[in-house]
Amino acid sequence: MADKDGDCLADRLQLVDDKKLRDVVRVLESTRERGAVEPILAALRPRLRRLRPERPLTLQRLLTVPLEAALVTGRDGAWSFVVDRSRLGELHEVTLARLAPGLAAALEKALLGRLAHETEAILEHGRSFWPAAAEALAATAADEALPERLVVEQRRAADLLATASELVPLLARLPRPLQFLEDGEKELLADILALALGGSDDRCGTVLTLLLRSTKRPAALVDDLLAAVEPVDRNRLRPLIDRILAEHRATLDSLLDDVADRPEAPVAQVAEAVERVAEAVDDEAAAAAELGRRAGVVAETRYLAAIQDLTAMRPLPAGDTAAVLAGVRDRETMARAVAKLGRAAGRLVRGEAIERATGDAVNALVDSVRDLAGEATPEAHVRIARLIEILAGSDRAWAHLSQHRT
Amino acid sequence: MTANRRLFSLKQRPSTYAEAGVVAPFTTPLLLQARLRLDYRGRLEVVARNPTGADGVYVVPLAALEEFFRLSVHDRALIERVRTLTPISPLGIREIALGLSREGLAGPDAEAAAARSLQEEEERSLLTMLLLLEQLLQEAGLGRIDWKTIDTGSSDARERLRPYFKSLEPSMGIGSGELITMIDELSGLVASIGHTKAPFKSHADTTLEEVVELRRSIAEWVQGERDDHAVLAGLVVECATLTIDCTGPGLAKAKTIANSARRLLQARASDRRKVDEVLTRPIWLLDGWRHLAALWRSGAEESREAQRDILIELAELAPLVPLAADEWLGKPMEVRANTELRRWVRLNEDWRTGHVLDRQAVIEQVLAEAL
Repeated sequence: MADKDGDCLADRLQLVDDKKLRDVVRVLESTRERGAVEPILAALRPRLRRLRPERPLTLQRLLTVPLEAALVTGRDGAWSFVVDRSRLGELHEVTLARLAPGLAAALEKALLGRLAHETEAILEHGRSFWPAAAEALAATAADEALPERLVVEQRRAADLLATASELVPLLARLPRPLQFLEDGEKELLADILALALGGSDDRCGTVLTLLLRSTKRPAALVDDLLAAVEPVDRNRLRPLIDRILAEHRATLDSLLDDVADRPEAPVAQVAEAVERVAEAVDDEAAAAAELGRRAGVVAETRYLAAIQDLTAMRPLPAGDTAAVLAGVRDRETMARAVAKLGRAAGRLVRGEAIERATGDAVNALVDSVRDLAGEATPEAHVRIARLIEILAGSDRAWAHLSQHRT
Repeated sequence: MTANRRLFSLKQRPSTYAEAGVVAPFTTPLLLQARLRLDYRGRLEVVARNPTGADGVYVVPLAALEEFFRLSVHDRALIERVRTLTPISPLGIREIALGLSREGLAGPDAEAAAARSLQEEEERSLLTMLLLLEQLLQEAGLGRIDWKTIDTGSSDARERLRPYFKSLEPSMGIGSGELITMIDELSGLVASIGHTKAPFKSHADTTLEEVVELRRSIAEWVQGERDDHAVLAGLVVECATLTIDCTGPGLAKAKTIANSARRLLQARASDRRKVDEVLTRPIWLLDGWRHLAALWRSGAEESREAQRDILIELAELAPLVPLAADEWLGKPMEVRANTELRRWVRLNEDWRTGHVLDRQAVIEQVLAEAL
C-alpha cells in the first residue's frame, strides 16, 4: 500500500465511530501482510489505546501460544532449552508454508471473530492445528541445511507443538508466578512432568526451563518438582535442574555486570538488578553467595552516591505551576528508585552505612528547608516530608511535618 | 502463594449506609478504599479489607488505627481532619480529600488535580447559586439577574449578588444575610448533583457516566474470559448495574426537588435532614466508584494479565448498594448465592513484602485521576 493511500485511509478512519474503527482494526490485524498496514495502525494507536481493541486470534498467534513460555530474547541471558524470539517470524513462515493445502485457509476462516485471549477458542482450534504444525516444522528441520543450533531449536519448537494439546491446558492452570503450590497444583505439576519425561532430555529441559523461569525463586520449586516424579526419574531431572539453575545465576551475573560496569546506569535499573540478586540469595544462599556479595557492594556504593546526589539537589522553587510540579514528580521518582535500591541493598549487606547515609540525607533535607527561613512555606515542608517518607518512612516524615504544618 | 477467599455477593449487601460507611481516600495500601462509619457509641471506626488477603474485614477504631497500620503521611493528616468531621458523608470526605491533595500530601499529580477540581467546584457552586437566586426572583416576580455583570471567576461575585438578595427580603420574610447563607449552603449541595438548567456536568453526573462506561468496558472486556475472571467481571457489572439503576431515578428526583428554589428552601426549613438526605442520595450511591473507574482506566495499556489483576481488585472494592436503597426506590431485591473464588497473590506485590511505597505511589496516581 502506497504511503499516501495509507495516510489517507488513516485520516478517514479517524472520522469513523468507535465500533466501526474496532471492526476495521480487527480486519487489518488479521491480514497476513501486517507490515503493509502497520503505518495505518500506528497513526490510529492513540485512539486505539483508549478503545482497548481486542487482538484477534490469528493463525500466527495460535502457533505462538505453545512456544510463548519458552521464547527468550538476547537480553534474557543465555539459556540452553529455549527458543529465540527473533526467529519466531521465520518459524511461522516455514510452518505455515508446509501445512497441508487448505488447512491454513480453513483455520483462518474458523478463527475469524475470535480474540487472542479466548482460552476456549485457543484450545479448541489448537488441538487440530498444533499436531499438524509440529509435523510441518519437524519436516523443515530435517530438510533444511541449517546450522546445528538452529536445527535443535527448530526441533524443540516442533516438540513443544507436538505436546501442546496436552501441555498448554495444564500450564494454563498453574498459578503465576509459580510459587507455594497447593496439593492440587502439585498434582498438576506431576502431570506436566510426566508429559516431559515421556520425551527426550531436550523436552525435559525445555519444560523445566519454562517452569523454573516462571518464578523469581526457582530453587524453592526444586523439591516440589522432584517430589512430583518417581524416584527413578529424579536422577534424570536433577542434572537438568542444576544446569538450569546455573544458567539462572549466570543470567543474574551478567545483569549485575551490566549495571556495575556503567556508572551512568539509572538507579532504578540498578535497584531492579540488585533486587533480583537478593531474591536469588534468599532462594539458594550457598550457590548465590558470591553473586550476593558482589551485588551488595555494587548496591551499597551506588546507594551512597545516589542519596547524596538527591540531597545535594537545589531546593525546589515554591508554587504549584506545571513546571514546579514536574520537578517535584521527578524528585519523588528519583527518591523512590533510591529507596528501592536501599531496600534491596539492605537484604545483601549489614546496612549500617546505608542507615547512616539515610539518616544524614533526612537531616540534610530538613536543613535545606530550614535554610529557607522565612521563605519556608507550608508546601515546602510538605514536599520535604514526602521525600523523607519515601526515603526513611512515614514516622520520621510525620515528625517533621507535625512541627511545621498549620 | 494462593489464597482462597470468599468475595462478596449480593447477599452481603449492608442494610444501611450507616453500616456500609463512607469510602475514605487512604493512600496506605492496606487501607485502600477502607470505609469510615460510626460505632454503636458514636465513635469513628474504619472498615478495611482483611490484610492477610483472606475472607472478612478488619474493623478498627479510628483512634487506634496507627497501632495497627504504619500510616502514610497523607493518612495521618486525613485522620486529623476526619476526627472533626460531623456528620460523616461522602461530600465531607471529598472536601477533606481535595484539601489534603491540594496541600501536596498525595503527591504532585493529585495536587494539580485537586487545584483544578477545587476551582471548578467553586465556579459550579457560584453558578448554581445564581440559578437558584434567579428562580427565587422569578417566582417572586422580581425579574432576572443581569448575568453580564457577574463574573463567576471573580472573588467579589457573591458581593455583587447582595442587592438581588436584598430585593427578596419582603417576599421571603427573612433577612438577606440569612438568605445568602441558606442559598450558599444549598448551592454547594445542588451543584454536586446538578441543576437542570446548569451548563455543566455535576460531580454526580460525571461519576454516573463513569460507572456506565466502566460497566460497558468490563462487559466488553470479559468476552472470551472464563473461570474466576468471568465471574468477577460479572460481579462488578452487577454491582455497577445496581448502582446505575438506583442512582438514575435518585438523581432525577433530586434534580426535580432542586427545580423550585422557593419550595426547596421551605422544605429544608421544616425538615432539613430529610431534604438533604434526598438530595445527597445519588452521592452516597456513587461513593467509591470514581476510584474504581480510574483504576480500570489506569490499566488501559496494560497486558491482559495485568488487567485481570485489576479486575480482581475491582471485584473486591466494588461498592454494594445497601438494602436501604431498595426501600427508597421500591425496588425488589434479587438474592444470589455466594461464589467461592480464588486469586493469585504476586510475589513482591502484596502486603507481605514491605514494598509499600511503590504501591502507595500507584494509589496516589489513581487518586489524582479520581479527584
